[in-house]
Amino acid sequence: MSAPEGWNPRIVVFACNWCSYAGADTAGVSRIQHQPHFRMIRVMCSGRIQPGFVLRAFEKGADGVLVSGCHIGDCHYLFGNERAVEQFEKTRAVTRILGLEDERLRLEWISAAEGARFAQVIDQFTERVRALGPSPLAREAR
Amino acid sequence: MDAGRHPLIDVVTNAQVVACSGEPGAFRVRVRKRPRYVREDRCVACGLCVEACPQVGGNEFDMGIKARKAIYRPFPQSVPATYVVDPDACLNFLNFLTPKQRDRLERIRAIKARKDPAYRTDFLVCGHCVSACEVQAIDFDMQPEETDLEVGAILVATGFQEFDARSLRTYGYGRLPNVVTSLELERMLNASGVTQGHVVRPSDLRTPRRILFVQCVGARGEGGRPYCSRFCCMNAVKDSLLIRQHDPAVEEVTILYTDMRAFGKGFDDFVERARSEESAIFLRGRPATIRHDPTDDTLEVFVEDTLAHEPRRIRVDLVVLSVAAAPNEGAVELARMLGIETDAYGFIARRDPAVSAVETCREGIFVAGSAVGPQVIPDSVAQASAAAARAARFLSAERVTLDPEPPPPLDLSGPPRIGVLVCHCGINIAGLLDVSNLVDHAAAQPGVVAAVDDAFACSSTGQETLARLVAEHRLNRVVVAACTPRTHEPIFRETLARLGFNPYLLEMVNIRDQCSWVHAHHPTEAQEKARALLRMGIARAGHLEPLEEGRAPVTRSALVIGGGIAGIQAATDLAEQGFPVTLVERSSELGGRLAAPRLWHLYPTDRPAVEVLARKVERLRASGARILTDTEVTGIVGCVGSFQATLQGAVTEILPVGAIILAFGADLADPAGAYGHGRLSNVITSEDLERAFFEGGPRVEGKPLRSAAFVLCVGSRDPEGFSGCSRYCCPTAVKQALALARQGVDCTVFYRDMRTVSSGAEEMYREARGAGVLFVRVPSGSHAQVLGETRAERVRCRDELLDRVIEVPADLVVLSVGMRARQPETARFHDILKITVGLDGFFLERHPELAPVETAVEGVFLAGTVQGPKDIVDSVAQASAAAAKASVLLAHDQVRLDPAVSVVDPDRCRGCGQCVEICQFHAPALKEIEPGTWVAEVNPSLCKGCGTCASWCPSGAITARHFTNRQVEAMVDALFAEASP
Amino acid sequence: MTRAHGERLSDIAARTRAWACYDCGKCSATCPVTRIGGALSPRRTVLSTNLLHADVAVYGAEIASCLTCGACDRRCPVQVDFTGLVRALREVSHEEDAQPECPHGGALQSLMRMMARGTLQQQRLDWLGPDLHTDPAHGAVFLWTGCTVYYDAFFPEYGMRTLDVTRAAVRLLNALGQVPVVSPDEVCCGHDLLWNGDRASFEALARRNAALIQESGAEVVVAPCAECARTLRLDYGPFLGSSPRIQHLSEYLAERLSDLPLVRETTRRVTFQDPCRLGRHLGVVDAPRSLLAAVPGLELVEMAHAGLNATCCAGGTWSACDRYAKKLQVERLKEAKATGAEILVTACPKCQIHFRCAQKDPNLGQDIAIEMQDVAQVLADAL
Repeated sequence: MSAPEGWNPRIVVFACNWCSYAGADTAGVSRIQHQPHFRMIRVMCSGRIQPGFVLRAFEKGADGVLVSGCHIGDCHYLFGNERAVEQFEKTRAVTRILGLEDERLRLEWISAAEGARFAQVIDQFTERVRALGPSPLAREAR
Repeated sequence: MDAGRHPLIDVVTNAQVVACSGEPGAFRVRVRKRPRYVREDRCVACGLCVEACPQVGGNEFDMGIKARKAIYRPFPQSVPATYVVDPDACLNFLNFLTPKQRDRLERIRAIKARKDPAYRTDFLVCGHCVSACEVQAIDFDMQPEETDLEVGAILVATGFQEFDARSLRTYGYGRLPNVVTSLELERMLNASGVTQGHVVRPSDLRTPRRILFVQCVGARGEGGRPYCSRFCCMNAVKDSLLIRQHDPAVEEVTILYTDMRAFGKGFDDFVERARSEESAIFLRGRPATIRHDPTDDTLEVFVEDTLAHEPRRIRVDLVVLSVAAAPNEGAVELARMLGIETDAYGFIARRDPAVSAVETCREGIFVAGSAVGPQVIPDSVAQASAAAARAARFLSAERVTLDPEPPPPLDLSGPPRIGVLVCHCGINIAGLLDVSNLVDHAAAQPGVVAAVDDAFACSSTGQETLARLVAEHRLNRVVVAACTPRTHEPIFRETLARLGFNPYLLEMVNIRDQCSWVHAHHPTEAQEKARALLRMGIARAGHLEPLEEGRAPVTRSALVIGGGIAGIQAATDLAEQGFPVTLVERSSELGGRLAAPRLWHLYPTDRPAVEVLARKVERLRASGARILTDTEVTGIVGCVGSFQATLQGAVTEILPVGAIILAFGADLADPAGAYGHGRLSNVITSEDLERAFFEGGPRVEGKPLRSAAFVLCVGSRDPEGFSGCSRYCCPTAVKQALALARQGVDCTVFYRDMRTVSSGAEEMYREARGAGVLFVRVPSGSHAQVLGETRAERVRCRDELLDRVIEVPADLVVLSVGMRARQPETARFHDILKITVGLDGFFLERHPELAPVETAVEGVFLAGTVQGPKDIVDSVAQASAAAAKASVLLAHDQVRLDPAVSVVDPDRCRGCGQCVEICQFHAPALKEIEPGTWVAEVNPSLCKGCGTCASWCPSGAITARHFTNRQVEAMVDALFAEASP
Repeated sequence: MTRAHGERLSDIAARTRAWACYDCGKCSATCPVTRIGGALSPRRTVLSTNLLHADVAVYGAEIASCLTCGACDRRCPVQVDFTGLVRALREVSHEEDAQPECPHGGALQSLMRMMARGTLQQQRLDWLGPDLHTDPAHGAVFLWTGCTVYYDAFFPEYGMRTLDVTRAAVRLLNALGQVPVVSPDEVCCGHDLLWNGDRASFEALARRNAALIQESGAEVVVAPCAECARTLRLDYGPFLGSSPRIQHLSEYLAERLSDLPLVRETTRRVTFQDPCRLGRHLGVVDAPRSLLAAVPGLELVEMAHAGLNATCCAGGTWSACDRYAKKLQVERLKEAKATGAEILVTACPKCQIHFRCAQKDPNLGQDIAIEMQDVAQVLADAL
């Protein structure tokens, strides 16, 4: 289904406090402009981002969900981001069966210094989700 | 950032030391602070002045690649977050006038002033920034200020400056367009740097297809600098990986090196990764010339591939010079002022690096990092902590505890009464977002009883507004929509705490850094986003719970396990600061590897190890530390601040301590029959050779030696076994070969990469070559062969650099054995304390750069080779660092516990133990609460609050406080809740 | 409490015969949760409802900890429908957003609600291999696959293979010459949401499923899952009417046992866990036993509590997952081991999931280790 005219995707970003949320702040301090259709939810560690959070976001109508944390090996809590990968894969396994396109759910590592990369990831993800059109769950929910 | 916010740290920037007097414990230092023309107490770092400023100046931080305004912030994370005016670029300083023009202007002004008493000579040529600033922070009347600081100790951490590659004409730096230095490249690769992380050719700003790194520029003998800069090898490898990951347009990266000095923990594995991922072509050779092709601005590099034995011409788009670290220009002058010495190169000199890596020639003045010569970051950080530990001795009388009396807590019970404060941040927020609409939107949300706006929420008036709001509306939740919680949450929390308002009932909504600043092109959508973020914050606030900071008592004493050089150092440092310390050594003597007859002389000073050890032990004994030899630690229970260690041996007791330092050292690798060891009588280890020196030097069948061969990397850099570098062996082998060569023995050293990185080692390597020691490079994957039936006669190996087989006679073959994690101690303490062991078998530090001596277990620190191979100097520095970190903990009789941690509901817990399995900090543990029923309990002293266990818990028994399921779910729901006004 | 609230509670009391209660306490004496120390006394809940005390009946922790296993219902001298009462009270509690947090971060409930939306085109049939003969839309037998595909994806850490049950069911039906309908559009039956109090989502799911079943032309719907069978048979009335027939797989197979070529010999000794939904809710206890008896060489030994007296797996509706549920599971697993059986056979994938979760225990280890299989797997292996 193609997106209606003037439609903007609704994207939820779950980010860890130490790297990815900080990376978004760095984009701000450097005034690196990017697409505004995402909303960020901060947790302390990407390991906290449980399947229930992501699924709830889709359930409520998110067109895309981005999970992001510190680069592997750089976790503020040693290996929390590796737990994040496991939870992400579990989530992806069920969203796939639900029939949500894989590209609606993405995992990215963004460090506190990578403001430009944060902006780039947001722009790319926004465009991917825009190309997919509204989530099947958002269609009825709206 | 942490330092900038620390209540006990005053950061004085834009300043220099101009005089120093007094004595250790009572120095008086005069500091001249240059005016920044922006008042730090007022500036809110909004950046409006930058937008208003019409003048463009150079940008030293981005090597002039990118321009900046005359008023600027050096880089986004700068501390303080205050802008500064560059007088050379700013119009108001008239520096753009010639001296003649200035004179004339001055004269005209003087005449005018005489005629008109109201005439002001200090009018501003340009006032754009002044009028743009909404908080009146810009002040061109600021003058240089001199202040006298009274301090107990001084720590010099002035770093290094880049070697000026212009002086080496062969590389064409400064002359050829596309030759840059590694620091310039670093700025390009930095995400917030000049090109936002993209590498470009300066000539046309296009992505280079082929890049070439030249290592050792201005180092290892070049440009008059004999030393090795230590960090360049790894830096080039890291950059090559980064470039290939981020810029697919870059097709090829070549690194021209001589020895790949991957000496640090995990470095060799990193280089292997670069090799296996083919991120870089490693080519051994130093270029002769670089020729510029003006038709397309490419560069042709002439170099011999010394391993392939053929001259090469490599055409590339960009050449990166890995330039050496040079001493700071001001270092000599600073040293003179402080009364300390510099070395031959102009780095700050240490009194005796073998004894202490951080002590200068003057008592009370310390040095850390690259001010003493090039250092890698982990070593710099360890030294910095070490210097702090040593300095603390001069301050111990001054130790401060910060604990203001808290106000009586407000009654915050009942259903949420939320107050919302929306900040304009001048025009930073209000310039793009409709603040009054946000206030209305907030007011319409459930639970909100008051919503107001403020020009600058973080200013003193903003804080007063907040206080008034709380009182007037009896708020029990506060939402501040402003900037990022990462910088401003502490400020608002502090304000609320002063009111007796539980600071955990505050929620910050980031509508500046993550909204108005980054969505300027989409005002409508930005407004929509800000409204959504506000709804989400308010929804979360409704579910916030008051949390009380916990306290745990601290036993203000330490246990040091291991009586080698690291243990001795750590114990001495702590005892000298006045903490009761118990040092436990399993054997009957102190000294570990330094004790006779294990180590003859130390490199590079050539001093007898026993002499250094004796001084160390003497100082330890004088420090008052309790020394228990012939004693073992058989068990430890408890956690940070209150451990109980069971000691057995000379005493049998249970010792309560607050901190533990592990310093039981490492083992040496067993050659296990390699190179005929054990079979051929004259094949010995490097340690055997040290022992022989004590007995008058090695002899063969009673006769003096005529020849000796050294084989390096025995048990190191072995993909099958320990893949890392043992770090101490190269300089040790060079030291030993040099000692023998001086006695007329023909020495040959079989090496793979000569890693003489420690201080003075490169010079020693040079000296050994001068003394006739032969160095044969062993090809990767191949080994030297020791020939002989009952004893070694000759050693044969292909010399990679000659491409022919070399055979040398050897009356003695010395195997330079690497280090291994000491067993069974490492395994035993892993079991006892649950400290993570890395893939290399050594204990894993908390973070290689940020926390090199801490472990995942709070209160347990690592000193010396328990963390990985090190030489004496590095072990000593690391031991002092461990002592410094322990002393921070022991400085108070209580340790504060962050309340935002995980808690377990024992009724819901199924005792499955998954939380125990995944937590790296060993915070959760299973307890048998009745026979056959276990439930988890989270120790708040150990929990770091990441919340991962809460996500993992199948039954939902674990709650991650302050980031609960309900709080996060409320945000998700509010995000999609369609908006009212 | 509002007046409306009071009327609602008295209405519930009337519908579930709670009013008939005279506080004999037999229910609480029967209740496994009460016995093990959990926060539940059925008697108190009934009394609180009758007295219109919403703080206990609606907002208290008690109704969340009930397993709805039906043990008390069977013993009640005045036939109070306690499980029905709990379900109705949970509906009130759900409407008022007063329920405790769901296990697994609410992910499973979220999945079910998403399916209820009806806008998804699921990719749920990837497990079908070429050896399994099914029809996506039409046929005489509709095989109800339930949520096994989701469970296996969501619980990799338990080595969950509930899809093996579904595969075994297809093989058994194929062996009987049936090509069952396995629909790509099947959604969750709604059992868990209904028992969590979310009636609206349950009804949305039920409507979709009912339409799907009716369009298939099936004469019988066969469910290997006891919860699905219970829900389709007892709760789908308003959507499905009286046809087609709803059967648990074991019932369907028991009726056709003579046609099943069970040839492969075994020497294994098994015991059988009666799922509460199959045993007490549907009254089916003989069918699975007759199937096991038909497997050549298989020996069935009964646990101390079996048939209508069986203790339940204590996890039924993805809601009451706690220390007490675990204790019940551990108890039950020990009971199974005490029989000397090698395999614990169940007739509901949920039983397997919850027992496997309980077995993930670092302290109890061998005390509760026992292999588990579904009756469908045992039978399919004997083909």
